[in-house]
Amino acid sequence: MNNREFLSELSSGMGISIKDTQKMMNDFIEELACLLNESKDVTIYGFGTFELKKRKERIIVNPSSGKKMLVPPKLSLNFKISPKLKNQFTQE
Amino acid sequence: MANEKTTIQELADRFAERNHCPRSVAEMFLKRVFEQIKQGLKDDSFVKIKGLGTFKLVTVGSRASVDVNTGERIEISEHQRLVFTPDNSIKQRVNRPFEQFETVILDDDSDITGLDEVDDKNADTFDELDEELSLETPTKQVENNESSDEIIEPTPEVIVPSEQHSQEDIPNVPTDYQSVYIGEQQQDTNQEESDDLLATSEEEATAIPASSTTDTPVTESEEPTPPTDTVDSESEHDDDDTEEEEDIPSRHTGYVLTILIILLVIGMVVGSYFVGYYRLLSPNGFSYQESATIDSVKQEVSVTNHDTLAVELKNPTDSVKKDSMVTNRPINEVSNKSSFEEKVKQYEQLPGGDYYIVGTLTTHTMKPGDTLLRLARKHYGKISFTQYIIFYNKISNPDVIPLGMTLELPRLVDKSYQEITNIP
Repeated sequence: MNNREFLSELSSGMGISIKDTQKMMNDFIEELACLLNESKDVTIYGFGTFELKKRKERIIVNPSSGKKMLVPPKLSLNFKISPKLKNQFTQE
Repeated sequence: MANEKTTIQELADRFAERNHCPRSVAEMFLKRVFEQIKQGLKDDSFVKIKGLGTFKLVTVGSRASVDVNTGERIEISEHQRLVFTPDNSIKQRVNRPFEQFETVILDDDSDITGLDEVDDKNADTFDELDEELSLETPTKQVENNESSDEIIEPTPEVIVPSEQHSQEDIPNVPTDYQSVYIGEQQQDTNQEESDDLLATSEEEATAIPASSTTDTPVTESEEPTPPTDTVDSESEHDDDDTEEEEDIPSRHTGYVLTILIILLVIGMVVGSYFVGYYRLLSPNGFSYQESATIDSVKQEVSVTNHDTLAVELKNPTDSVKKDSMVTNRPINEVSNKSSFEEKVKQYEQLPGGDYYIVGTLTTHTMKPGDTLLRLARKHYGKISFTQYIIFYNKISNPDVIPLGMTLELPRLVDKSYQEITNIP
């Protein structure tokens, strides 16, 4: 299911236009990111948890040129599925 | 990770506030979103949401394993695993607190043993990490940036003298006046542009009468000075840094060492390049050094004792004569002075100028790309001499010079120098 299908399904379920749905999705994503940046894990019951993990700075070596590079630390978005949903998928 | 946990309720609250809709609507919307994702996963086993990412069900094949408690061999049956790949946009959005960091290319010989210690010290919570990082990584980057800046810096300083060499060669040859007077101008520009050069030339002034082949030592002593200067400032800067971040000294010394080595190597390369350039392109290069030293000698002498001026002037100019092949004119101060005054009267003088116009130095036919400023800089070393060219050629509109127009460049004599030599 791609984005367009997802939006159309969602908009028909909510009874609002696709355009509005898209806007609401964007707001939701922005709000999610804000919460995550406040170092909060967002848990959605029955679905999973969005959490931010910090990847440490590290030194990598470019295999072709042999140059060492210092990769800066970064925050990455992780998703952990909830046990309930996991069970559903495992049973199928 | 000891992150605070929030639920869909808080998300819904915020969402409602942002979207100006009732909270119930917001919560319903969010629940529907996740229901829809679940549904989509069941139908298609993948859901792609723009701005968030892709949820995908991946089939994991059955594999043999061992029960941890009993030690029995069991088989984990085939099942599906949910994989979430975040979209690039949300990756960047979420990484915003750290986005100022960039990947830094390390030098081969930089010391990175200190890194592990630092990493061990790192706690897992965000706040501490933030603090430490704001200390470590920015300074590291600053160092790197500065090292690149410092590398660039010395080059223009080194170029300056060599440009002068090539410029001065032309006017040095014609007459005694020229070599001495232009030398005076050089002195001015030198004083403005590099005190190092002046210092070395003054040092050389004592050595010059002994040998005329001091060319190589001079250039060699010139070139290393800019790098050492920058090294000094660099090390000062490093001292500040070590005060700030005392916990990682070993890595720090590694950086300093690297920067020092880089500066040294670049200094040597640039230096050798200009030594070669100087030797190849300007066989008359001596005369520049000579005349500069004459001036410094002359200045010292004129300050201390006027009586010895004539004698002192004669000696170095003799050596100039030998080296720069100016053998035509005998040095006769008195006749020069009188003929000089005649010349000054002969030509129309620029009112308020620091220099007398005493003749025509050379002529120049304007080609595409020539400008008066460029001419002035080429022949006199400073763009401020443009006014003399304009005055001497009686150019009405200096902004528009027709192509092919032949300009006469005036020969100039410093008025202040004139005053000095008129004291017998």
